[in-house]
Amino acid sequence: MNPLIPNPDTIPLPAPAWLLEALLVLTLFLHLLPMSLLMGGGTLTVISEFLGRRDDRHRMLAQATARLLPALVAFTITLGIAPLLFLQVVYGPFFFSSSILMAWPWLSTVGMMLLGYYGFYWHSFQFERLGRRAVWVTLASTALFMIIGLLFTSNMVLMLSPARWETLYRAGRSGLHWDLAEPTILPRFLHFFVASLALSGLGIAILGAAKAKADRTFGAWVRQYGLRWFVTATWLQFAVGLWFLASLPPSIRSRFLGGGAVETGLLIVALALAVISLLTIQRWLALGTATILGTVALMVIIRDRLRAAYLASEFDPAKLAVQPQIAVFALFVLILLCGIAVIAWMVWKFAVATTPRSE
Amino acid sequence: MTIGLIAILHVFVSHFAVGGGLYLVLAERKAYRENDPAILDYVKGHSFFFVLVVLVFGAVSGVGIWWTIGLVSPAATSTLLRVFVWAWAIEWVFFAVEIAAAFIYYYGWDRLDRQTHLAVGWIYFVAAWLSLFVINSILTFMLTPGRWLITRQFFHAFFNPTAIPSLVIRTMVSIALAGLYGLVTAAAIPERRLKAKMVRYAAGWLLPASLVLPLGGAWYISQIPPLAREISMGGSPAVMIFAGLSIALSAILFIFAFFGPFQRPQHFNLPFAFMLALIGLSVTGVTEWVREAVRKPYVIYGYMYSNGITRREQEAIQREGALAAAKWVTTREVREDNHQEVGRNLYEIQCASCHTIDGFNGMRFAVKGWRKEFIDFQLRHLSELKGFMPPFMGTEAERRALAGWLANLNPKITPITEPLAQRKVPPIAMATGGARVADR
Repeated sequence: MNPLIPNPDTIPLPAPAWLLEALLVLTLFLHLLPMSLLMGGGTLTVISEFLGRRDDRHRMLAQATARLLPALVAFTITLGIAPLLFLQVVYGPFFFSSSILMAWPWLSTVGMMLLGYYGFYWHSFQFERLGRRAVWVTLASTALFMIIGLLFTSNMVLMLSPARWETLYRAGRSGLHWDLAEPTILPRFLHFFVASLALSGLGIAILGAAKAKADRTFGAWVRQYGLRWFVTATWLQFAVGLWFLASLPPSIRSRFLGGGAVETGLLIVALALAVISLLTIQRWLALGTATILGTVALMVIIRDRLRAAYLASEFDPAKLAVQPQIAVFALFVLILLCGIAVIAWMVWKFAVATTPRSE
Repeated sequence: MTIGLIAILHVFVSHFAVGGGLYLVLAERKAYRENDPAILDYVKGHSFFFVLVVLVFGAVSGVGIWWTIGLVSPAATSTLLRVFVWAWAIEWVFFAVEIAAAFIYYYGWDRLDRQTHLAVGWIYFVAAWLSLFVINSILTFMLTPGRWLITRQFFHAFFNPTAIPSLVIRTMVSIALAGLYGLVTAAAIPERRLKAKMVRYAAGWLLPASLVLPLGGAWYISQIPPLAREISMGGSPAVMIFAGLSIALSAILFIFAFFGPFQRPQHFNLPFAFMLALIGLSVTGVTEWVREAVRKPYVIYGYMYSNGITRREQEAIQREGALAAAKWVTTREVREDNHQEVGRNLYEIQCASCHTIDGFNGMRFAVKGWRKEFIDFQLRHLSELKGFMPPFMGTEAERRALAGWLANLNPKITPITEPLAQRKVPPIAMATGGARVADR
């Protein structure tokens, strides 16, 4: 075992590790949806704002998507808290170590989040007044969120590589490292980014389907345009995914290529679902959406297995001491259900109030 | 330092997030009851300001605190996460409801019917307060873990001795801060009649706090550990000054608010409002600082020292040495030739969570003019001489190495045996310098 890995906390886990990991996977999946729509949606909004200078349809589309960005930031942050909480509870010694090594870059994400968030609000409320300059605000905010994404990827990779820690620690102890030399970081980040373009394309297609009720030609165009992004990005993803796979250390890679039955099986099903989605989405939007969400969910599980493979020789969460807090957990589940019900009620009331009555 | 800065702003904004929610719904209800569309317009404007400050800054600065404590005190953060993971998860649900309600409240103006809109406002306030309820207990746990130290039971940790008094204080502070922010937006109203009305209304929000806070404060102080009470009441001059400042500034704030906006709302203006808000921010700042300061030498009272070492580990470290117990060190043994390296490592393990070398709580300044032997003496009796510091933990050789490293932070002093005339004096200062020597 690597001597730099801090001892796990002496306080036992408040629930079995599998439960905490299941919650980690579930909430990460929920976080990735708005996160993807934010990063990809920001990028596509910038593109449509530029194209909108000559094409009215793009101008209208950009206006519609830009309005959603502030709320997407809120969803992304809110849904991002839970997976990071469960990650720290189970993988604390790894996460804290890598975060401290890259302390200042890591801390800077907070400032960038604030600036990027206000940027989207500024854009949303001052759209008319900003005029042609509006696109630069979207571009800057989107760029900030992309840098945040890259920093997250870096930290998530660094926490899995205790072997890198010593080199960085000896090179400098001021927490200024931003270690991009690790060969998996760039393909891993691109994997997320291309997925976010695909999911945002899909989101735009769904927006188009909804708009078609009020304006048929515009709606149909939006739907087609969004699907083009979805299909192109998903095909491209096969190439990026291969690159990512190739960049993994051989012993870990082989687990996903026949070495491990579960890992390989998950990957095959995830890819099959993606192919089904590509083949059906033009005709059946709902089916194509459901299958690609299945791919995303499986990919989150695969990602979790990848982490386990990285840490296999150092750490096994199942061996941590456990002292379950059953009553508090039950309370959490109860409050979670109430919370979901309350949010659903508010959203329903809002949806009813904002849907134009049938003409 | 970073943590303090982010924390104070976050505390200021997040308490407002709670009280401000109540302010919005009650002001909205007032508008409906009095059938005054002007008040309603004001509340709408205020809610825009509210969304920008609370949803964005409140949420992101909260993330910022989390980032920072993980970097500065990973061991304490890890403990708080493990003891309270379901409490954090519950808090997260409340936070999510709060954010959703705030969005729907803001975008729901003119869309939702009055009843539903008010209901969403109430949901916001209740969720925000519940979120305060949870976080408050986790915060107070650090100073008064109470029976948890023995039983390790979640509910003993959660309902710890200062949880309820602190909750009363924080609730009152929330309401007072809502009044302060309300004063800022009300002072900006151009129309005179409405401005006077809303200024008086907002100022009224400060009054309950002025009555309840002294009582809540006394209750809270009666529950904190004796050493903490001693530190805040004279044990440490800096802490006592800040504690006094906290009380004095609060009193000034309430007196100003009562005789200013509450009594004479028509003369109230924006600069005055900002000044009151600034005093409010100062009170928040000094009070939170005192709350952090009295917890020393612990980060979790009686369980973990400020430098992340638990009392349970203390004995083993004393026996086997700090280098042997630590993970992130560049050397594991004390030799004749590596005292500097050992000292630097020990500083990073045991001192660096509170001290920097040259900046905040700088070590170079703290040991200025101290010789190695004196530093070693200080280190040996650290917890007795400075009650708010943890003892030095490690072997004798390690302690000497640390003392040597600290002594070396001092500038090289020219030995006194050297004749004065041979000392290098810069040529320009020659005349005055010489004169001063002659004076003596």
